[in-house]
Amino acid sequence: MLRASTLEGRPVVTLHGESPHEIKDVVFSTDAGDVLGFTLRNHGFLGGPVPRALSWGDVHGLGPDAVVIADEQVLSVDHDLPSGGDVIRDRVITEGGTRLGEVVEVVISAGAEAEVVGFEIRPSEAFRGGSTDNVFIPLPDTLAISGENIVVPDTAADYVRDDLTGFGAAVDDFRAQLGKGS
Amino acid sequence: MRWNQIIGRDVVDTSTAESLGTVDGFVIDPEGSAVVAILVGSRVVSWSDADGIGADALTLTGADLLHDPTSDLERRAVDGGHPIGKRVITEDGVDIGTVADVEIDPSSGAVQQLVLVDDDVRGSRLIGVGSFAVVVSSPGRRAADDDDEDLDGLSKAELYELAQDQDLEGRSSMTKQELIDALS
Repeated sequence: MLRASTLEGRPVVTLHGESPHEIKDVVFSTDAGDVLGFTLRNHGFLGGPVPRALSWGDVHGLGPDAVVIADEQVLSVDHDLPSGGDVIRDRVITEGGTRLGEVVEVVISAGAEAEVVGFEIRPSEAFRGGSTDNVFIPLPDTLAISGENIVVPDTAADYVRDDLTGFGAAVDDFRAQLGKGS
Repeated sequence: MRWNQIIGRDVVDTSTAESLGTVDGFVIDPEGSAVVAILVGSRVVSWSDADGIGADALTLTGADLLHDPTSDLERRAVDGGHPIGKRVITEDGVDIGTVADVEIDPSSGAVQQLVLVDDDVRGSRLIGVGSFAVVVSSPGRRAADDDDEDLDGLSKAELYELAQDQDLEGRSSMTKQELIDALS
C-alpha cells in the first residue's frame, strides 16, 4: 500500500538496471479512478519534462522505491495518455447519499498487479463525529466518478481505517463482502 | 572468491611473461547469473579463455585473447554497468540495499551471492546489472518451481518482512537461518 503522490520523483528502472527517467506525475482517469499512467521527467533537481509517458499497462512492477519497466522501448512510442485529471478534493458520497469527506490522496497497492485500492479522505463532520484526522476508505473494483463526486457503496464506511497498516486486509474484506452481496 | 579481492590483480601473458594490464571489472550475464568475461582496461577477455586466477595474477596464454567489447553486455560493462556500489531493486520496485561485493565461483564463474552491506542475496535472482541499479527477481514472482529454495535466496530484510506479514512470534531476535526455518 502506498500513497500515489509518493511515487513522484521515484526512478523508472528497466529490468536491465538502467533508469532513463523519473516519475513526474501520476495521471488518473476521471471516470473510473484508475491510474492511466505517469508523466516523466529527467533525473535531478533541474530535470525537465520529457515528451514520453509511461502507460499503466507497461508497468512491470511498482513499489515504494521504483517503478520497474521491461525496457526503454515501452517509453519510445510517443504515447499520449488520455488527458486524465486529478481526483484530489473530489467529494466522496455513499450510494445512500451520505457525504463521507473529500479525497486527499489516492492509495495504490504495490507489486505486480498494482491498482487503485482506496482513498485517503478528510472526513466530513458528520462522518467521523467531528474528528478531522484523515482516514482511509477502500474502493470497489469499479467506481462512478463525475469529476466532482465519487460514489461508493454504503458499506465502504464500515471498512474505514485510520492508517495504512491493515488497510490491505480491509480492502480485501470489503471487496469480498461486495462480491457476496451481488 | 570475492570480486573486490580480484580487482587490481595483474593480468599476465604466460607466453611472453608480459603484463597486459590489471583486472578492472567483470562482465556479468544476468540471465545465467554468471561472470562471462573480465575487463582489462577498456578491453575484455572471456572467462573461459582465462588460464588461471592466482593469488597475485590472472594469467592468459596470449595477448590476442583480449578483445574490444563486442556484445551489448560487454559494452554495458565497459560503460560502468558493474554491480559494486549499486543499489539493488527488486522487479516490484523495492530497494533492498547496496552491493558491497560479489561472491563468484572461481571455476564456473557463477555469481553465488550479491553481498550487501549487512545482508546478502542469492545470485540466481539477478535480472539485470545496469548503470543505475542491479535488478533482482521478487520473491514468489518467478520461480514457482522451488519455494523453499526461494526463501534461501532472500535477504534477511526480505525474510523479516515476510515474517511480519505472517505475524511470526519472536521474529525480531531471529537469525537469518531461524527466519528461513520458521517460514518454510
